[in-house]
Amino acid sequence: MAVYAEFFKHANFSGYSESFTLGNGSRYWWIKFGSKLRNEITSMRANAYSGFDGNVYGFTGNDFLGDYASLNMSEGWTCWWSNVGSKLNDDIESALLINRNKSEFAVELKDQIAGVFKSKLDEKLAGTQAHRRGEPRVFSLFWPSFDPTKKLVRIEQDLRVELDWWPDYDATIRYDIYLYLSSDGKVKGYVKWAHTWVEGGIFSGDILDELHPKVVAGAADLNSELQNKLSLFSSFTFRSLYLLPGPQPPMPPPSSDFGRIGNAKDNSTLVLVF
Amino acid sequence: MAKLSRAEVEKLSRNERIEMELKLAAEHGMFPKNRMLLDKGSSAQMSSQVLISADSVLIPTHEEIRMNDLDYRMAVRDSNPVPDALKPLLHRESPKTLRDSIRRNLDSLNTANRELMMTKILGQMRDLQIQSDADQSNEDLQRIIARAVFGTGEFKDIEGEPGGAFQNKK
Repeated sequence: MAVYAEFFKHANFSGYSESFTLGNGSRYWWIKFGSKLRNEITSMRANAYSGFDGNVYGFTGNDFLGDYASLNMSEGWTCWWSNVGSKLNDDIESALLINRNKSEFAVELKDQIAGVFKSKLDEKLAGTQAHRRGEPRVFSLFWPSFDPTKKLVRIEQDLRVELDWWPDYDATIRYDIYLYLSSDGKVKGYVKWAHTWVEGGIFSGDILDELHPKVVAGAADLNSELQNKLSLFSSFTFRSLYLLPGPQPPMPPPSSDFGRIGNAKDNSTLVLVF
Repeated sequence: MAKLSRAEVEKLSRNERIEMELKLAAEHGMFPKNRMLLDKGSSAQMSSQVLISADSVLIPTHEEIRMNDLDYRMAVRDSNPVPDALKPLLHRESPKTLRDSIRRNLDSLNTANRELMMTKILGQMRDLQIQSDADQSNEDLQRIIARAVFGTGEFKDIEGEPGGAFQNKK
């Protein structure tokens, strides 16, 4: 047992509550709240013990996405939100409890991936009707319905597709990267999924037919860049690899860093255990 | 005809919008090959698993998949309750017996056995929650357990934040 978390219907740990205990044999405990607490949670608290630090996240989405309130516990500490605030109050639908090891290396993936992705994509889109709209989002995707045993790193980019006679069509492309440890403890990974979304209109189908094969083909370039990045870890051997939502939480946290309010799409943190 | 703005298009009904988009596209010599009469707010999307050669060194083995992916436990409340038929197999003790046993174990907590007993007590509490629907007696017991296992501290929020942290005192 390493992380114990309680979620309460009312502020200051009152009203109906549910508790969860994450044993030290698992990395994650994931929860999708039922009718008694879904969109009802106002306060939460958690402890870490038995040789582990821990993090707890409560998300507004039922798929571990959306805004979140997190707690960062050193072993032997209790952390809490006595009130998760107006942004999240009565809006939390799912939660993650995560065991943290003492000897880890954590890296925020947005810094590693976004810049290279952006410049490669701009090269590909030059001279086409599609243009990048805004910055890429890099975030952790936990056990999605289309690949329910996997934790993935998603790169998501909004596009604008120009037509001469009609307002631009909005589109979004997404790549999902599967990172894993090989049996000899090396970090490996590849692009596992490619997705394309186009807003509704007469030409949605035509744009999708044109764009999606290019998105799928672009996975090969992304894979090459990914292998370059992962080669930085080639001389290290790790015992475990896992993902955290958002930016890296300070671990072990000083008590002033007991938690944060954020959004799951802010970042993805890769954690490697020595 | 000049290109319409998004605001102008938003004012059109669905039928007007379809008619106008087709008309303007035709003026530019464009005809949708894969015409979709989508409602406002709808979309077209496609997902593909990226194909990688089966002999690629990037493909994990079954053992590597097992090692990397089977690292979680899950709880889906309501939609996936433990079937009654499975409960006796999972947990042979009745809720009453479990509650009594938890209380006895709480009474026997001391510095020497704390680490061992806290694991046992929290496991029993988890079993009790699976065995019986949440009720007031479970909720009260859960609070007693939290205090007994983690010690007491004052939940005094950090100034300016509705939250905080303390080191557990046993």
